Amino acid sequence: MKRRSSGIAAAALVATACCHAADLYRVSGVVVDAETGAPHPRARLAVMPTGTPVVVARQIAGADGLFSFDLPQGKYDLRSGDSDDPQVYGRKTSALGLGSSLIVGPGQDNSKLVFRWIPRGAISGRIVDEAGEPVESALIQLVRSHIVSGRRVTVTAAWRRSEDRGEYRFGLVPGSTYYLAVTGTPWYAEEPLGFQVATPPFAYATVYYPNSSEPAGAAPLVLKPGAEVRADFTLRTVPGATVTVELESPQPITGNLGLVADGIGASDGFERQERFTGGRQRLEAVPPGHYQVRLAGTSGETSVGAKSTIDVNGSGVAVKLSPKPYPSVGGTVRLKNPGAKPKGSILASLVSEEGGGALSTAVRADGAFSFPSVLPGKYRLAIRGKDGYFASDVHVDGAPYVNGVLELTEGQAVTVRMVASDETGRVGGFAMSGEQPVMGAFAVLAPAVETGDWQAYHCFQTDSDGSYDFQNIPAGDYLLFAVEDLIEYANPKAVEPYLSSAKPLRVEPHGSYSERIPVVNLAGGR
Amino acid sequence: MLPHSKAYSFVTFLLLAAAARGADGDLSLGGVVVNSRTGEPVNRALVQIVRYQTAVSPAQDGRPRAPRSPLTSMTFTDASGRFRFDALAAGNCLVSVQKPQFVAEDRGQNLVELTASRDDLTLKITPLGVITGKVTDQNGEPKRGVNVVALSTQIVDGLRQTQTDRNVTTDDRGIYRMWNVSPGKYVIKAAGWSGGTFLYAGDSQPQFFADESFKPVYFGGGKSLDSAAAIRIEPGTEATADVAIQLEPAFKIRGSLANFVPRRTVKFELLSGDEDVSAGRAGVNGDTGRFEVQFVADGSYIVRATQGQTSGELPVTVSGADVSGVTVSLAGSVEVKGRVTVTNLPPDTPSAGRPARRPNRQFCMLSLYPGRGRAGRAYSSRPGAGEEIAISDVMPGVYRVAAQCFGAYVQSMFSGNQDLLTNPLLTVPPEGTPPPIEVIAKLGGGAIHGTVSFSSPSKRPVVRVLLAPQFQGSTGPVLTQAFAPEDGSGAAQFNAASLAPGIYAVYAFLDQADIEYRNPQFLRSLSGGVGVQVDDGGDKEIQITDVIR
Repeated sequence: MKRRSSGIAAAALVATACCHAADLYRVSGVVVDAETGAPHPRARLAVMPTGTPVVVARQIAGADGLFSFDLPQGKYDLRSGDSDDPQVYGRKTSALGLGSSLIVGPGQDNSKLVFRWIPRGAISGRIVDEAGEPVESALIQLVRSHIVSGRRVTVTAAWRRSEDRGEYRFGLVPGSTYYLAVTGTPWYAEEPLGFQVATPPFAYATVYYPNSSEPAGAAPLVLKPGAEVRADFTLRTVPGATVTVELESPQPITGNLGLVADGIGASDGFERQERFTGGRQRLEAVPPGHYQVRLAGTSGETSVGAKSTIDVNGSGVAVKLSPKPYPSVGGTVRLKNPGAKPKGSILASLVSEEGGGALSTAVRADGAFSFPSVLPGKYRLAIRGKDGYFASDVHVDGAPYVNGVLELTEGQAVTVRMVASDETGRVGGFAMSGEQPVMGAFAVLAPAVETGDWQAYHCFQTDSDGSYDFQNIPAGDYLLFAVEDLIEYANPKAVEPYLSSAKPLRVEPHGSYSERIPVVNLAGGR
Repeated sequence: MLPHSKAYSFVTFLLLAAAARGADGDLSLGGVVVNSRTGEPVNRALVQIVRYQTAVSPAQDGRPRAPRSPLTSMTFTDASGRFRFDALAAGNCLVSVQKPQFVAEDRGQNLVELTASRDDLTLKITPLGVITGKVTDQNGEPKRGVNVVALSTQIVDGLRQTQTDRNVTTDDRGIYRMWNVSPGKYVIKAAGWSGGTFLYAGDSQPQFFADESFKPVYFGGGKSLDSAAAIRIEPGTEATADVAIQLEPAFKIRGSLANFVPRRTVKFELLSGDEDVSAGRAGVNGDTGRFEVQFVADGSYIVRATQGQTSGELPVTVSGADVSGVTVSLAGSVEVKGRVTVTNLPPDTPSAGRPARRPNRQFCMLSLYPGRGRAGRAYSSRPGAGEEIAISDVMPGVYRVAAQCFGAYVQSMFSGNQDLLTNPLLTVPPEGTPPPIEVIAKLGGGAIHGTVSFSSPSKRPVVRVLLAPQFQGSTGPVLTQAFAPEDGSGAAQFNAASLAPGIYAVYAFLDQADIEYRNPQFLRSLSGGVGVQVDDGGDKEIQITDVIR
């Protein structure tokens, strides 16, 4: 990302909500572009006590990127950016949730901080047809392969539609590995003037970057931080077919009707989506391929859905759908230790197994919770909240629950009984290189017994004093180690090389442990 | 996958096959498609002809049978804009043309009577326009995520209402683009941050850097619609409208939603005066309905929340600090009731062949228009039982009440103690209904008819006549059309009846669309009207020679 000098004078204090005690400690440094090392002028900075959303100090760095705060003793997160692109001090990658807190107090030197601002890049391009004419409203899918919660996932990052010149742009894109897929419908394939076209409808074949018609042929596009990359596509016409969709039994449903193909990685490849208003509907000009027809809508107040798999080979296909209500999940949470009352809300969560996103709802005072309507898919159940409770026992009725994964499909009414346990411990210490603590290293706490539950693996990026602090760790046996670069810490295969030299640790309920661990410099992944 | 050249030929083959399938004669039809603005030929425009086959059977008396199914043929124009259909039978063809980013003239359909081969058909398509620009802050920094809207105005029941024609967001370079813009006049506004409303769970919502915002600003720097610089889009033009915003400290509005349905999506809007401001980002606790609207600059607003078929509004003023503790009550739609009483009706003596007197309620219709100058949903009454009328599904808000009577004129219109003829703005509160609207109308009224003398070069001049009452207590000015001869000269005739008695100033407008006849400022700007005294039951004739162009 280019930077230019703004000529702004020294940093101005925008707002300060603290700091009138005698014992204040200087926190100062410079914000620089992580790629070029050049000062990042006029960076907007905010200081928050770690673990709270309250901003206690704000500042806009100068044209030279310099900043300076005076803060009382404590542990703080230093953030820069805006709501769409917040960055945390110490972050080495664009992976979310990581960064190094600042330990402010006696003996801590935070006067020469270098806040490495990781620039964002862009991917843009032009979509044309075989005649070289721009294709308006082509659908471009950006799929990202990156580490989320310790696992490498390949999921859709964003969608765009091309504009009148056929141009599209994904801006503010973090450096990472991406895939692109483009679909569309020729403008002339729609029925002009309402008269039926006497010839087979035309369709555009989906194309995967750089120029493949199959997801298996998709090649990654590696975007370096701050780089701009062009990826142009030519859409080719193929004979399309009509997919006729109707309901097994008529019912008033409004919603969306989608055609979804196998995508790249775990992502869905969308061929198209149209409004569904009930009755019989035709999807015109569908290119050959293997699809899932998905209906998602409402019948009255009830969310309903239906799916069916089809193959399109140039001839018309008829599909009948039987919509059923979306699965509901409800149940109770019982405290394992009823004597210890939580201070804040306890949340019951459904955590998506594919992408890691979660649905959460507060557990009521009687222990009950409900998700009246959940998108079908695979989820892990979890207990969340500020007090650090975790689900120590889970029973499920009404849906398959295998290896901790709940599989939800339409029509299910699922009952869950969970036990929320506060039997957790705390593991802290320092990551060391010889006798020196290492800021920004990654401490990993892996379960001693390998498990497919990625939530059981924990990672902490060490703070400015090289310390790590795992809180609310469920009691059990673990292996503790530290690495210099981020790895897929929830992938048993990725952590295996480190386990032989890892420190075994048994965490007892309410136990507190302190360990100094060496930073291992094996080749890591990012 | 077909190779490039074969794929393109494949499309052409299919189109030609379509043409050939419709072969039924030996005539040809050809021509050219041109850009109506530049006259240049248009490549790869899709031309379609539709014709109905008829057949004459020698076994019958020579009369043509009923048409069979339509025959459709299509082809693309070439690089010279030319097209051609062969093997056609004589008869009528409906020819149409289309291409993205163009609109066809004559609603896209040309009826051609094909009696011999011809190659001289010219089809015109008009290119649409583009509006693009960049949004920067006071330091010249491009700003992404700004909600930019293109507004056009229309006159609805005599008042100017804005409507949002386009709504786009600036990209990471601060650039926005609107395409396929129809010719017309637009105002571009940087309305606020985009972001929308999100639901969260737990004790605290995710925090963002929400410390800066800006007041809406128009292209040209104006802060209100009246001071905005309008952009005129001609066919095929690309207009650039850069907007500079002034960032200032932003605050939050916190509160809770009453009657909130858990985990259902909610939309927040901030309205400021007659215009809305984008609510940059609003977070709502999905379980409790607690909300926080972020990115709010100093000012006075109406906070509106909508969840499904319920909505609620609340005025809020932000002045240098966050505002907390507000409650917005969500309420569903209500039925606004009314009654129409028509006086001076003759006695009802139905007899054979003569219909009974129609109910009072059918003399007058009530309408509710959005009361804040923005385009929004309007409602109209429907008859109820007896003299009752009802306006259904009205959402809470402020509306302007309008009454229109046929064969009668309104003498009074009240909702409770509110005189709607003096103050037509009616508040429909959440969780309640306003007092019924009581209308008293009198059968008859006066009439004015006459002529408007003018000359106009346009082929189809539009002459409108405005009758502006010069007294209080009526339903306001009346706009009617005068019917003019097609040759553009002579006198246009008009007639207006069922007028409330009183003095009127009568004006004539030639080829004018923007007649804001309910805007007092507009009315004060008029001059040269003809004064007419209207009596109940009377009919005055006037001649207008001074037209406003």
